[in-house]
Amino acid sequence: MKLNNRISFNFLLINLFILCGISIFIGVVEGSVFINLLDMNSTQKSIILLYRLPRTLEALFIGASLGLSGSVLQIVLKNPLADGFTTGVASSAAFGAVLTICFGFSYFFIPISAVIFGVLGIFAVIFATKDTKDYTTLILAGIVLNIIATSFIGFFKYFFEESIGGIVFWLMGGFYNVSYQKVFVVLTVFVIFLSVFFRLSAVLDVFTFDTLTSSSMGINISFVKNITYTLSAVLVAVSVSFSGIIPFVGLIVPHISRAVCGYRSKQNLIVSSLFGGILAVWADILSRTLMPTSEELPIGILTSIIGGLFFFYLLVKRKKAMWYV
Amino acid sequence: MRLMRLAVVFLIIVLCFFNISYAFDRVVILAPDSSDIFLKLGLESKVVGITRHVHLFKNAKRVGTHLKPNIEIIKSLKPDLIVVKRKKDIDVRMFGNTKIYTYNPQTLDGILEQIENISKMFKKDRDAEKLISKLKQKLQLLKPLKKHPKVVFEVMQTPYIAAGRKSIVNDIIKKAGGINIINSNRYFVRISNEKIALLKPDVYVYEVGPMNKNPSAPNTRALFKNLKMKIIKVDESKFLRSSTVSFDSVVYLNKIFKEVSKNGR
Repeated sequence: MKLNNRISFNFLLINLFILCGISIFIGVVEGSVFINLLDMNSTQKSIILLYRLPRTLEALFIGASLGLSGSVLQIVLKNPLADGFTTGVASSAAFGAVLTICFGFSYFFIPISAVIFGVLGIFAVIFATKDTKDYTTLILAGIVLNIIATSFIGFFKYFFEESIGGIVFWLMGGFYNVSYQKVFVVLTVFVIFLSVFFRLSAVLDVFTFDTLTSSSMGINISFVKNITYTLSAVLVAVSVSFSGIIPFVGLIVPHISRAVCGYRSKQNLIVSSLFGGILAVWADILSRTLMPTSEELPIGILTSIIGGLFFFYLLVKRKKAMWYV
Repeated sequence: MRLMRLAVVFLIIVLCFFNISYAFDRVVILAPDSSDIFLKLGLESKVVGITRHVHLFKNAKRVGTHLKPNIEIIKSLKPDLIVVKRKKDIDVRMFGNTKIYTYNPQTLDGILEQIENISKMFKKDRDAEKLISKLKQKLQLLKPLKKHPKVVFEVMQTPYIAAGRKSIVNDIIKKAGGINIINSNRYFVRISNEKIALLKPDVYVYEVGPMNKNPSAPNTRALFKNLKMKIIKVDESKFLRSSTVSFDSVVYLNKIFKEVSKNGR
C-alpha cells in the first residue's frame, strides 16, 4: 500500500517544510567550530551570516534542483535509473570545469564553463538519438557520453598532476567559495525550472502510460520528451557547475518521492525537490562536522554512502516494486 | 720488488691528486627542488635527465614527472646517479648499479646540509663553501622583530589546504620571525576556513602556481574579507620548493613581518 493512501499530501508537505527549516537551522548552527548564537563576536557573526547561511541555502537549492531534474528525467525517460549521470550531462559539465581548473582560469569561470559543456553534452545526446523514438537509446547515448567525458577528465588528471588535488576534490562535490550572489542565481534557476515543470505536470502525467496510449491523447510525445529532457539536463548542468558532482541525489530522491506520494507528477516534483534539498543540506552538515581534525569531507563521498545504502535497502525491501508507477 | 713498491707509491700519489668525481657523470634529477643546487654548484653538464617542469638545463632530456617518471627514458640515459624526493618515487631494482640519492629537506639547515652532501659527491667542496656562506649571509640581514606575527600560508584554495609544521614554509616563516598558526605536524593540512577566520592571522600568505592556479584574493572571500590582516601573494616556486631561493623568501617575509610588527597588528 502506498503511503499517499494513508497520509494527506498537505500534511506531508507541512512536515517536509518543517524538516527543511530544522535542517537549515542545524546547517547554520553546526560547523567545524563551535559558535554560541547568543554570544557572538564579529568574526563568529561573519562565519554564520557570510559563510554557513549562504552555504546551507546553496546546498538546499542545489539538492532541490538535482531532485527535481532526477524526477523529471525518470518520468520522461520511463526509466528508474535515469538521472544527471546516466544522461551524461553531469560528466560533460564536470569536464568543462576540469578544463577551467587545469588551464588556471579564475574560479569565476568554472560554473560558466561547466554549463557550456553540460549543454554541449545534451545537444550531443539529442543529435545522436534524433532518429529514434526509443527511450533506452537516449539513456545509452548518455552513458556513452559519460564514458567519453570521464576519459577526458582522466587524461587531464594525468597530464596536469599538480592540479590533481583541486580536480579530484571538485569532482567529488561540495559547497565552497559561497556567496549570496551564487545563492540568488541557484534559487532563480530552480524557481524558473520548477514553475516550467509545474506547468508541464499534466503532460508529464501522460508519460506514465505506454507510448501508444499517450500518443493517442493528442500530445506530441517526442517533442515534449526532448523539451523536458533538455530542460532537466540544463538544470543538472547548472547544479554541477556550482557544486561539482553530487551523486545519487537525483537518482534516489525520486524513488523516495514516488514511494511516499505515488505517481502524480505535480506532487512528485514538489516532494522530490524538498527531499533533494534536505538530503543535500544534511550531507553538507556531515561533511563539515564528521572529521575530528576540522577537515571537510567532499560531499559526494557522503551522498554516495547514504544514497548507496538507502538504494540497496530499497532494492532488498521493495524488489517487486522499484518502479512505483 | 723495489721497483714494484715504487710504482705502487707513485700510483697512490697520482691518485691523490686526481679528482674521482667521474663516479657521477650522468645525473637524472627527479627531485625538482634540488635542480637549482646542481646549477649553482656548476654541475649543469652532468645533468642528463630532468623532470618536465624544470627548464634550467637545456641539454637534459625530459624524463616525465617526479610522480610518474619514464623508466625507459631514464634507463636509456644510463645514469650513475638519480636524485629522488622519496625512495618510492622510483623502482630501485630497475637501476641496480645506479646510486639513488634522496633530496627532501624541509628546513633551511637541511638545504645547507644537502648542498654539502651533493658537493662531496662531485668534489665541489669549494663551490659549496662559497654558496653556503652566501646563503648564511642572507640570513644575517634579517631584522629582529618586537612582535612575532601570526601567519597562515595557503597552499590551495579549493580544497582549502594550509602549510603545516613539517613543510619548508614553516621554517621560512619561523626564520623570518613569524609564527605559523597551523599547529599540525604535517606537510600540508586540510583545515576549514572557519577555523582560519577564528585564529585571526596577522599575515595571510597565499601562493600562486601549479597547485593553486588562480586563487581569488583572500580579502574578497566571504569569511576573510572582514579580517584585519596583511595579505601577501607569492610565487609557489619560491616558497614550496626547498632550494636556495628559500633563503631569499625568508628575507622577503622578514621585511613584511617587520612592517607588520611596527604597525602593531
